[in-house]
Amino acid sequence: VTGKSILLVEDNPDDEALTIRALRKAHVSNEIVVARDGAEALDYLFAEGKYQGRDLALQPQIVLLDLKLPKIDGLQVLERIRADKRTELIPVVILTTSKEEKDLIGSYRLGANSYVAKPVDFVEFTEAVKSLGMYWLLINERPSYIGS
Amino acid sequence: MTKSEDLFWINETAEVRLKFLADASQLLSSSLDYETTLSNVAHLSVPVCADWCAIDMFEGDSRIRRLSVVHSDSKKTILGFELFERYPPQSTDTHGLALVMKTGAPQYYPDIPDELLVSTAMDEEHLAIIRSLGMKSAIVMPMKVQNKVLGAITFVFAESNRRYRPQDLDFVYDLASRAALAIENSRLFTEARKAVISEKHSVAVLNTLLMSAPVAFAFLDINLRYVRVNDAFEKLVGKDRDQIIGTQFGAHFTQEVQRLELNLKAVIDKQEPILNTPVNGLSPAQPGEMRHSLASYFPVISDNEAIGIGILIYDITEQKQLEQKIREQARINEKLYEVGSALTAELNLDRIVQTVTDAATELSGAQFGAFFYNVLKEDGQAYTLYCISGVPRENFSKFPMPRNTRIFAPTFKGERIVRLDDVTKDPNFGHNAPYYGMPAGHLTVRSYMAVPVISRTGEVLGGLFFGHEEPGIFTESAEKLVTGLAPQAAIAIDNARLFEAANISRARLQSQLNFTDALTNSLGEGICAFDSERKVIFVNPAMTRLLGWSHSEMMGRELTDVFNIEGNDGAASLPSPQVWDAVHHQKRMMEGENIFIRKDGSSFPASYLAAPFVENQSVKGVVVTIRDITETRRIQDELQRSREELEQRVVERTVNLTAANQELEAFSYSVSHDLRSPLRSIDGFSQALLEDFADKLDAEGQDSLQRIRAASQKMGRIIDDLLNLSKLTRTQMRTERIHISEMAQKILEELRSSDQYRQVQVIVQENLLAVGDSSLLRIALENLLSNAWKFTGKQENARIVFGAERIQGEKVYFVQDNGAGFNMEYGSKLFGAFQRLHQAHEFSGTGIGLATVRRIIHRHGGRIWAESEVGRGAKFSFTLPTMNTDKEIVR
Repeated sequence: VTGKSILLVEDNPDDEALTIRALRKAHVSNEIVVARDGAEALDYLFAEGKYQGRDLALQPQIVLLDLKLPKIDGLQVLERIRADKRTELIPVVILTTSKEEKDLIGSYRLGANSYVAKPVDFVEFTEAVKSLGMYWLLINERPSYIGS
Repeated sequence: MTKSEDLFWINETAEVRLKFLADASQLLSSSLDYETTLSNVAHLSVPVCADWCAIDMFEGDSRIRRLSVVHSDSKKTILGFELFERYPPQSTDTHGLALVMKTGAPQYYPDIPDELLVSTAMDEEHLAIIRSLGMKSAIVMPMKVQNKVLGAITFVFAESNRRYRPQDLDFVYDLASRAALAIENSRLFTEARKAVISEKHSVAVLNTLLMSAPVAFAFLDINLRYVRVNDAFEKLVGKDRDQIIGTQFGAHFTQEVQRLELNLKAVIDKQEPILNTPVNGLSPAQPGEMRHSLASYFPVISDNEAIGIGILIYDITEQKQLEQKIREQARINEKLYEVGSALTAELNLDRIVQTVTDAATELSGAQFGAFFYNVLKEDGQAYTLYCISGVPRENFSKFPMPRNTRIFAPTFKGERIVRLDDVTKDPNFGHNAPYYGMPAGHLTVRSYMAVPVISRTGEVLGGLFFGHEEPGIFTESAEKLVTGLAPQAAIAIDNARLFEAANISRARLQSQLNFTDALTNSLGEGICAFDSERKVIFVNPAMTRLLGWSHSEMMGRELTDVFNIEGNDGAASLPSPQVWDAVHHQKRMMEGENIFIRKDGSSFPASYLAAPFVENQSVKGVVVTIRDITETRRIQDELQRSREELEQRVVERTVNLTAANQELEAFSYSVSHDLRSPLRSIDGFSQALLEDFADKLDAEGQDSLQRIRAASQKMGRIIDDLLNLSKLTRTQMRTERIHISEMAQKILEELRSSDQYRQVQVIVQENLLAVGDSSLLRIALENLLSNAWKFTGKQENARIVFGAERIQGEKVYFVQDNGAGFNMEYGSKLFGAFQRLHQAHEFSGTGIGLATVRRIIHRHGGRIWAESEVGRGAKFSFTLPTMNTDKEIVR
């Protein structure tokens, strides 16, 4: 699998490692950019802060977004993504530990494309991530140009 | 005619009238100047006989000369003349003087309505003048001698508001006749004197005059011997002229007349006339007949010496008889008046009847009289009672009541008066069995008179009966008297009846009033009534207490004085004109609340109700009711306060609960998120180890990693179950009717499809309904049924039953299995979280399921319990109260 990058927004290093491991096991070879809080994720997406000067034409193929994040939480990040012309079309998949109803509803209301609760069982988790990769990177068609 | 006028005329007794007539006669005979004497008569008659009196003389060619007007008000006297001057009577008039002059008949106006004035007035001014006279009743009486109309006397009632009655005509006629005679005398005297004195007039003229004069005329010489007499004199004494001439004056008259001789000598000696001397005595012409005359004696003077006497005799027998009639009528009137006054003063029926009977018996000249009258008793039955006068009651008591015989019928039917000189000779007498006449022992009755007594309504009240043992006792005048008495008796009886009825209704009214009094006195509400002038006309004790005024202070006071209102509520305030107008003029009831200020300045809140009080469909005033609402307001305020407190508490509780819920939610959130993340790391990296370093790990190492993974995964499930359990208590319940049989059936099918290799007998009682939250009950049933499924796992002939039974009237649902069962010693631990009665290797589970079930059943207000025996299965029973579904338990 080649092509555009994946933005993984995850503050937990364990989860980051396990997610990347699962993606690699699923033979996802795209570049994986990791942001460790909401602010960093937004900096990357809008080429600000330490990502100043990044080519905005090169937006990630998909954003894997955790909800519970330091600084700016996941739902706020999602809201900003959907509110901005430059990012509104980027597919966002919520990848979180929470199974709370209000998180699910909040995410869909703000325009999440998918919602995946991370199972405790790593085998199951690997299966889930594999499915995600298969679907969003291979099966799903997206507009050819989603940057600014 | 009203009673007072009646009384006035009855009071005018014969004496008064006769005295007036005597005074008038004396005036008329005092002078030969008739104009002066007539004027004096006019003065005499005001105000006794009239409020104003006019005397007019007819002078031929339809000319009328007003001689005299006398009015009780001298200004109007002048008006009387002016009126005559400006609007003299016209020969074409169909009323008053002109008509009297034309016809010689008196004109009688018992009442003078305004229409009469309008019809007789010649123009507006005339109408205004005659209206100002205020005439009420009038008589215009001609003064006539021998059918010749000399003039007229007009009597008018105005200011005194009296009315002339038909019988007054007789009286005025009498007066007018005397006046006419005086005028005629004066004329004759004047003419005779002229004839005697003047040589121009021949003896023939004198003779003719004498002969043709309507009055008796005679000349006496100085020795009082008849020298000449005329035809009328011959007729008067009933003798021929030859028998009279030369005889002494008194020879043809009674002794009484003869006694006048001395006086006649005085006429000659003093040369003074004697005018209008009444001469009464038996008629010389018709023996036994009483005649009344007025005689005038004139000295005949020649060369200043009296040579004889001229006599004029006017026969006034007719007038005297009229006087007699008047006297008789007056006597009857007087008696009637007497009885009338007695009756008027009496309202007791028995005494009225007795008075009437006594008076009538006495006045009619009867020996005895009886009054039979009908009375209606309260039971509606009519009874005939009677009362006796003249003889003791016992004389009649043994005889039956008079019956409707031919003699009595006209009386009891009210047809007519019966007056018989001798009842025993009447053709109607003695026709009826058993007595054919009077019963033996009955008082002898020959003269008989019976008069019906008839009410104003036409009802025959009874009859007055009179008797006398002598025949021919009852005269016409007696009949007249009793006839006059009967209506008075009827009126008195009517009045007595009315009075009795009024007494009864007054008694009722009084008790009603007593009741109303007691009611208004005992009421806590203040009641006050105002008349249309907004003045207090009634006030009850409560009102005086409320306002601090005394009863006497309030009575008669103005509405706005009595009710002082704090603040200005404008149209809503009781004393405002708007409220008064709405109640008094629009007949509306008005109510409101005001702060009323007492007399001492303190105040109190009160509600008021103002209502019109209506009599005969018109508003007579306003009734105001006031209720002190201090206490009501205090209670209302208290209620309001406690309601607010309660609301405040609810708000606080809600805030607390909301905060607690939010905390719990935050807690659950972190549990679900933060507890699971490390587990995932543990499991994930264990797996990574197993994958990446399998070659470096021995079997024991790999097993250890597997255990780590299993433990973390189990912990993940426990966390999930705990979260679900906490969710149960947080989610809002939605109560509805549930087909609980279908729900159980579906769950069991799911269990069967997930575990297809097992053979389980499933029995579900059909058509069971429950009321509750369907998602919660589903969780509960899932737990119970999956438990049953799980614990029958080692049973050969597994059987699961879902059903309901009635225990002590209560519907109890149950899930029963024939599985492993449990020891009831540990039953108390059964429903606690994380409690397990089986070892993990026997039956898997987190130990949270039954805790969840119990929480759900409790949230529905129900109970849950279990029965079991090891190896004999278990039965879980629960109730779901349906009655209080709206009282869900809020946690």
